[in-house]
Amino acid sequence: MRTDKGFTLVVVLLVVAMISILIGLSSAMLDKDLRLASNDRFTKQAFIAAENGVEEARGRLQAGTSNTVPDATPGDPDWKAFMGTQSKCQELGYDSSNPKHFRYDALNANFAVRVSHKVDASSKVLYWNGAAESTTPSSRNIYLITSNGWNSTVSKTIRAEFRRTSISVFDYALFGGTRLTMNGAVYTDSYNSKNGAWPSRGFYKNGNIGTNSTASKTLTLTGTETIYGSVAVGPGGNPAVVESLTGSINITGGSIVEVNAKDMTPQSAPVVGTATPVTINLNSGGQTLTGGVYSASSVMMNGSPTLTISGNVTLVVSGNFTMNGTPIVDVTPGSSFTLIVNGSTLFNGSTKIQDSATFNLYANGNVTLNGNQTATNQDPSKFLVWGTNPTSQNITLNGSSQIYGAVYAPNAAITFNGNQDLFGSYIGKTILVNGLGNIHYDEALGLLNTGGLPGPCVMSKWTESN
Amino acid sequence: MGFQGYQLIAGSRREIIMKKQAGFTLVELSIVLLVTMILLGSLFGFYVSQIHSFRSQELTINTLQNSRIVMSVMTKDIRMAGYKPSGSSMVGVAQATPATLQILSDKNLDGSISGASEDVIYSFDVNTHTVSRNGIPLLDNVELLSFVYTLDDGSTTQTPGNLSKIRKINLTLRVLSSDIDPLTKDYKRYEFITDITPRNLPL
Repeated sequence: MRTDKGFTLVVVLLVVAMISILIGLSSAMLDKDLRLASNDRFTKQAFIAAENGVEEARGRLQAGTSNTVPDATPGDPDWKAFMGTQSKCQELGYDSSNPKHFRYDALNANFAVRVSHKVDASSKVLYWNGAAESTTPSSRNIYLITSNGWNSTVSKTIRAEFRRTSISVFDYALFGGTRLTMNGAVYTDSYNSKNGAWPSRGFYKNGNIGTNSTASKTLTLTGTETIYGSVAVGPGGNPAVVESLTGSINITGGSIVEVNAKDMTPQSAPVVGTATPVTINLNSGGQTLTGGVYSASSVMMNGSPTLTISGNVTLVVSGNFTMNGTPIVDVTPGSSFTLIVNGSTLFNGSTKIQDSATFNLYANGNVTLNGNQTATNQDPSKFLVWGTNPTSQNITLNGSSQIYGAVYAPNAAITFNGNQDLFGSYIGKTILVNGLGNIHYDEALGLLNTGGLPGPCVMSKWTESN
Repeated sequence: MGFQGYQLIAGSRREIIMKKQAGFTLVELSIVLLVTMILLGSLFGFYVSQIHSFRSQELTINTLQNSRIVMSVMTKDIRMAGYKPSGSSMVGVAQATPATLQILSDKNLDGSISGASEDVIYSFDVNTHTVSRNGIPLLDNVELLSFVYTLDDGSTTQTPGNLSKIRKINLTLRVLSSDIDPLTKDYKRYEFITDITPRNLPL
């Protein structure tokens, strides 16, 4: 009977051995899975660190921010800035003996970044001219950013390309240098025309308004108004003193005090060369201006004629530009119309700005926009009004249709009497809103190249290298 | 002991010597066998449960690992959508349906889309339960592959009309284990959900 005992023992031992093998295999499998999961986590963390590096570089390239990385030689193809520890920056090519290499400590220990100017095949620095890369120097450098992020043994590299913007004059929905007054039930909000049409009331909340004034009650809001954005007063001003809010006023972004006063220097009309004299005095029918530079002592359109712009046309009017009745100015697709008026400008009738066409009005005198506008592209940057008068002028918008456009007239008293919505940005010496048209600030105008100081950098390319 | 035997041993002086003999009764044997069987049965049951547990764990880990790799590959591809030279009007998403996504990225910046790495189509065959990358099966036993697109105005849709307005892609992948889980007698299901923002799409 002793063999029975032996048999049981063998079976027990066998089963225990097999279970041990199973547990061993299971542990090995779990260990492998844990290592793979850890590796996956480290990879994700390294990726996030590399992205942090890109964002830090972008932020620090902007002038006026804390921990700025200055670019003192924007035309130097060999300039390079590094952020990170010395050893990690050396992996990115940092040479401490190279006077064109500048290293800064990063704000985070998990990444190192290299910033350089983009150059062409012949090592010339490239700039962004608003539509394409160019070797013509400007304040709009193109930066190449390489960011190495790591965690534990894993590293990730992200390469990105950024374009420096210039600070646009169109940085508010409404801005009155010395005074801003809004009467009536209107609101301001924002949208971005690059992303499509304005979606809905208050969708974006950058419909900011402001003034450089610090004087008492120079920013007056009366009625039932909502500012989907903030209200700015001049540097050192007290919002409680400057603002006068009467009625049901809602300011979603609150009140702020400007750090620096907004620059209110008028733009100059472009200098044109030899111009071909032309007479535009239409009562009916039409006239077409093809590409070229023209001059006229005055322009008069009565009735319902059409002035067609075909090609890149510049028209200099030494007197008044007057449209009475229901005439049409038709800027055809792909054309550009630069209208420089020394006298007063009166727009009745219609303005058509067709796809990809642009219309720039440089007005030295008073401007009255009474008519309606057909902007097929619904892009405010395609219709810009520049008030060039160095002392004073009046700009009045009484439009009977929605207007897509922007006005920059630092010495103008701008008055809104229309009841249709306005899409764009309106900057003047004083702003008076009497109508019921709401103001939708186009955030894309904030990145428009209006020849200002270097602004923030915006990404143009992004790639993950490993 | 309960059993005693007697043996007659011949001798000159005949004596009867009673010698004890060790042994088991039938009842004792039966009890021992029964206890042994119960013990062995328990051990075998434990062994079988361990085998099932091991198999279940193996299914989990294999499914997770395969899915994780596929999610990683898809995320990386989708993130690169719209990478292109300056001035190019190329749209980074060429096809966007609830279960198919075609991604374009001009990785060598030569101005044209060429090769399987620049033109990537992810599709889901509901009949074969397979997710494919450019027609090549990438993952089997997929129960669901679903894309939801966030547009530039913040709205979401599975059937975007204008592909240039896509800004973010939500990816849901539900995968079944390759075999039935012996513990639950059903397939294991794992669902992965991620939001991917292709950095180059709005540029």
